[in-house]
Amino acid sequence: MTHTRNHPRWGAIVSAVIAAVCTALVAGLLIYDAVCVRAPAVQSGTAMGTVVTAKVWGPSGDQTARAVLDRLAALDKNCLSAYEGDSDIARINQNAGSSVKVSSYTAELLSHLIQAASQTDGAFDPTVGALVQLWDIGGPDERIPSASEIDGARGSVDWRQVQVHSDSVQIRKGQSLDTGAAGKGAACDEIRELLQTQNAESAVISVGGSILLYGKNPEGDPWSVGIRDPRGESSDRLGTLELGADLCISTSGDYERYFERDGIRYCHILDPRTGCPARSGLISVTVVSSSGVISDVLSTACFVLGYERSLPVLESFDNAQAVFVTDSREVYVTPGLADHFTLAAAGYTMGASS
Amino acid sequence: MRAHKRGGLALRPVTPLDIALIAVLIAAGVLMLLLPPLLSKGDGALIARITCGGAVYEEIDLSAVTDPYELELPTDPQTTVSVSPGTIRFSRAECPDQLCVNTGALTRPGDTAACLPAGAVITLYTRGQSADDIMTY
Repeated sequence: MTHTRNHPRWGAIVSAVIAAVCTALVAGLLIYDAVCVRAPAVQSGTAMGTVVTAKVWGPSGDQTARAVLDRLAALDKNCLSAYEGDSDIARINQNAGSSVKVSSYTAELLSHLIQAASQTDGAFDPTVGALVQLWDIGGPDERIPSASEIDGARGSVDWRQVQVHSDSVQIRKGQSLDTGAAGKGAACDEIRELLQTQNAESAVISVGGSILLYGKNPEGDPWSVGIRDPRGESSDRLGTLELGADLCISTSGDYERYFERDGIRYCHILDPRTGCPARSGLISVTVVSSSGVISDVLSTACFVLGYERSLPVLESFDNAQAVFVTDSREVYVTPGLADHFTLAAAGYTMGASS
Repeated sequence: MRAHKRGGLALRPVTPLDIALIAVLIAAGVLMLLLPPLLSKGDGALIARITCGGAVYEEIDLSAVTDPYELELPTDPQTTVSVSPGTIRFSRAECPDQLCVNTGALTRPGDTAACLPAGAVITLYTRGQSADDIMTY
């Protein structure tokens, strides 16, 4: 017997090493796939005059995320823009006093907005266009109008004088529609339908800060939605909402667009009833609802109404929930969100909810 | 098993057990190299903060931008910002000195461009991974 029988061929050793490396690679990939959630497709861009971010999980995530931005651009161009000449809202405004043919989408949306104006007793009113243009807060001509100017513009604000039919809308001569307080939320509802047709698994969409949570969080946890600190930098959190699937969140605050004169802040959220920037003691309201347009409308209405007067209004809207921040830095949360909100920012205290 | 002598040192023959041990060690080493980067979710998104008149106008996650687009800022004189994947710049401005446009593309944390006549500033910074999926504002 020679000693060579006790030495395996080098070829066998090399084969064993290669097999080990391949096994390790496959094992690594399998572990990664089992443990990690696939990263979402993310698109960021502008639409409807604001920044839009779409995170989409699903087999065609990239395509769907792009489709989100395209759909929003079309929605603005065809329906919602008050400035695009061919949009439904622009044509209604340009032809105030006459009946204007519109899409069924626009007619249905305006019907919802009129209903919301009624339920909020005018704290939200889509006919504030003349006041918005007069103050121009955040625009190049922002100023404090005279009392007579405000009264003049306020005379055109009256949701009761909007006539909505299945395919046409008519506003009174001199009136002007502005969907700024509802458009982003309405866009979220439109995107929800798009995601359904695209068979998206889950998605998080932000349209200028109005949020759509679509489906469940792929990581198995609740969705985590930060609320901006009204007195911090734009990336500072007031706190976090942990929410389930298929909800919409909108926030109205006095920090987005405003100017100050003699130490007084004039924010862009106008009280339709006074014709002036709302002063209800609130600096931020965040509303959670299953409907995007309702969350958006109610965030504005509640900001105008103030904390106490908002509570019955919220209940009348299929139990929408809200987080209120007062100008004395107290935070109030409606009962349905109490277990879902965590305060994070320093300098704020939790108020005792009614 | 007889030892094989080389240069005075006694080397025993390689056995199947030795091969198995080597294979396991190599596999473990490859896994240790592969898994940490794969499992890491990453952080440090590149954020462009745009301020107009001293107030934050917009914050854009440049890491998430896939298609270039332009943004007209609400300033007087008028300024336009071009946003591209990982970069941002003043692309047009009606100011007389064009210093903002001439600054060129901003690509790294700390890069800044400003149009003083318009009161518009763009600053890049790195944001650590947020615990939130999204923020409402």
